[in-house]
Amino acid sequence: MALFVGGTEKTFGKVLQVISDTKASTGSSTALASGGNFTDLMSANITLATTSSKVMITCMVNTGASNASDATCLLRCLRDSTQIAGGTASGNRISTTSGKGTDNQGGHTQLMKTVHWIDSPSSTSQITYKVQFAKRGGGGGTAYVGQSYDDSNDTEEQRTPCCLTLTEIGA
Amino acid sequence: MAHKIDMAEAILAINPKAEVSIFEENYDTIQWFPGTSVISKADIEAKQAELQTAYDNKKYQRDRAAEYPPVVDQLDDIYHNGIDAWKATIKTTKDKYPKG
Repeated sequence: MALFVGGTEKTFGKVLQVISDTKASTGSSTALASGGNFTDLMSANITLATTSSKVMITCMVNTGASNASDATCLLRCLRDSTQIAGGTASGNRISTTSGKGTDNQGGHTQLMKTVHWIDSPSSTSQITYKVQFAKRGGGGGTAYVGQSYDDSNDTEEQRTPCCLTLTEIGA
Repeated sequence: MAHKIDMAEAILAINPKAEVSIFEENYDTIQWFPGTSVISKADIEAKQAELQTAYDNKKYQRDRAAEYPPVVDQLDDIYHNGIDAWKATIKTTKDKYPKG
């Protein structure tokens, strides 16, 4: 397939490799995102074919919270030890990949959070991408992944997976 | 639906400032962040049991709260029918879910 823009043919990138990490386990955190106390949730290693390759990061996490105000689950992405896919921190406002959501609309709810991000690491050394989680707010409560807060033994509750996929796109 | 008190809730009940993460409700996976003192597995389990009992003992309150008419309707009931009629309406729910 060819795509012409203004009479000029545009070329497409090629998928060179796909790597993923999935988790079907449940997790919880009382640690504060504002203190930088994130917990590793998923990680995947990739070694790019060329320095000009890009990495498409795709991620899905289902989160719950014990409280509708505090304790909602925040996500952060890292390339090795460098934060990526974050907003610009400003004053006391911290940089994260996802913000406060409606994780808790009552104790039985979860919120699916997705990430799509293009990274240009300019490296052919092995890189580790990570997705981390922590809770929002200075009050009490707990953030959850893969489950709701109530998580009672009932068919109205769900256990949910999370996944991280890295796709190398060549020029 | 009964809520099961989890390890994180028990840890926060012991130390409201605790910062931890846990996977699969497994004590051995607990990450204790700096500034948070480690709490023994026995102490966490004892607190879980204590909180679970307290939660279960208040089931009648949750059942009643879910079944009471909306406050606006209760005010309307009082206005039109008086306090005694309103008390009779409320008593129906209280009797249905007695204190344990």
